[in-house]
Amino acid sequence: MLEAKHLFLKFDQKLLFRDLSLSAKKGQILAIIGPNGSGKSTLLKSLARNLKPQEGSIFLDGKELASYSTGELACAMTFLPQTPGVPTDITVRDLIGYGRYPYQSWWKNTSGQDKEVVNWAIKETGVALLEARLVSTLSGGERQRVWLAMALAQQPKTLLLDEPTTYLDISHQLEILMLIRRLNKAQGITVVMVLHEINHAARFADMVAVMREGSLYAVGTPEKVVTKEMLREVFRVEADVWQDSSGSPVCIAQGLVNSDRI
Amino acid sequence: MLSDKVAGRGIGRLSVLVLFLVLLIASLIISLALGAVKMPLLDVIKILWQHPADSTSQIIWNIRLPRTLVGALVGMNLALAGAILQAVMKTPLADPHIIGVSSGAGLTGILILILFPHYEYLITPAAFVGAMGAAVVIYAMAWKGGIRPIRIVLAGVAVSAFLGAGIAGLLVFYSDRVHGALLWMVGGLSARSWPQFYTILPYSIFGLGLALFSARKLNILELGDDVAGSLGLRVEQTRFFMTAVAALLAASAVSVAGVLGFVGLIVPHAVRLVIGADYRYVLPGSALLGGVVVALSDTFARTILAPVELPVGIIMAFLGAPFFLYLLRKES
Repeated sequence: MLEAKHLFLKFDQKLLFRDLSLSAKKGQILAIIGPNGSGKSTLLKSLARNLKPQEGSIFLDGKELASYSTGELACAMTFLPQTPGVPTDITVRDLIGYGRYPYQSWWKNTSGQDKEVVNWAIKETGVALLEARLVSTLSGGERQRVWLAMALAQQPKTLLLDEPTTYLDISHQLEILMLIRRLNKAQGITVVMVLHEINHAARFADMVAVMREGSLYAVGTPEKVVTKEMLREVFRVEADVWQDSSGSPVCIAQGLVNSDRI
Repeated sequence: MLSDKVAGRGIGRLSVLVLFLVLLIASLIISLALGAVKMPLLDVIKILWQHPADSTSQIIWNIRLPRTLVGALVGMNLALAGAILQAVMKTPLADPHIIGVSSGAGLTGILILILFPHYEYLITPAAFVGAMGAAVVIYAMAWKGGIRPIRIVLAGVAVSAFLGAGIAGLLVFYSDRVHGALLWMVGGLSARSWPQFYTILPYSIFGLGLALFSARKLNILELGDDVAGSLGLRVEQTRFFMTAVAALLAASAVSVAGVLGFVGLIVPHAVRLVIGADYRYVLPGSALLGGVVVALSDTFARTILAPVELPVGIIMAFLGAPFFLYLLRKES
């Protein structure tokens, strides 16, 4: 359970968000969508404690985020940025092993239990065939799965993901999202992710939060939130919205609002 | 089969470290054997072993051995400082010399050398204060809601230029006392003996210990600030601490051998090319290879134009710059 209350954040004279409250319930997937510059990634970074809002507070499992020690937080929550830097020379297994860092200390290095967890993370994410490869030689989809494996090795209860499908083709996007969904269901991990693709949010998230210019426009189930009206007011597009075979809303943009300007 | 490859990598890297150690011992012995009086290698080993009371033994024990050891420690400290700064500042361009840490140490060192020449023992602590001061100023200037590597480099270059102007100004105002300071600035090991060895030794042991102890943190830092933070590393705190360790190592080297460039830049690069990017291997590898490079360069500087001795800093620059260009071309 991750809960943000009345956040207010200003950075470099620019107001990024004001009086923003949002919560992700335990075991749910919450997707944050919104146009470019609406503050989605900034919100995610605040939830990850990488940015400190000037006002308001964030609670993780009922305890204020600011009161967690760094190590304690790393064992409870993991944040994967949009395109994490890849060290020049590291094997898949070693990178996934770094996920155990918060559980290790200098006097007790990799233990048998760490190895077991890494093996488990490798199996869960299906990267067993890659484990001896260098991360820098992997394709985008493989790399993303390896990062997810590292996050999983951290055994977090909450997972924050910033656009996990960027730069991936359509089948790899689906593969990553299905993997996230499976980990969420099987491990009960709460997932908060920023997504660009509205249809992905509608299909894979339990709750969708829509951001517009630093505040929340709407929060709710995909059926309630992904509507013609929302797409017109937030994304400035005229779109067709209907239900697919699974009952999730699907949208296709047909034109821009005020398209006479172009 | 696949895991064999991973295991083999670890053994391969360990054997490279052993090879570096052998290289270091060999270059120390070569350095002892060569000079104004040339000695066969076996005699050198015998003298080290038996400690006889003749004149060649005097040369080895009182002149060459301490100088060689000082050179090796200077090389080790600078290479370690360079490797750490490259990790902390996330740029291959980082080096105590380029970043301005050495200039800070140099300025306060020269200040003591020129203004208080009788208090030579103050040079090391003063250099450390200067190096730390430069590092803190660079850090503070580069701080803007977090640290960006590019801002650190730019701040370092600015601070370095500023301190360089300070050094130049001192040299102009005290031109009558410049000679000693000038040799010191070029970076040399001539007339370095046991006192300098005992000056640098504790810093080297302390710095090496702290560096090896933190190798895992540097590995985590390589993943980027966001991921490192999410893995439970206190990113800014680690960066500040490691910068201080690098400043300590660089200052102790500068205070006994002057401003010696290129070691901290080239050695870690060379080590990474053969050993990979894992700092648990890069740091000890840099320490060993840094010792090899300075010990051999100083031997070369002593012998190439004998009986005239060149400052080792000149040799380092002459050998180092082309080697660096070669590395650059090879990598791309």
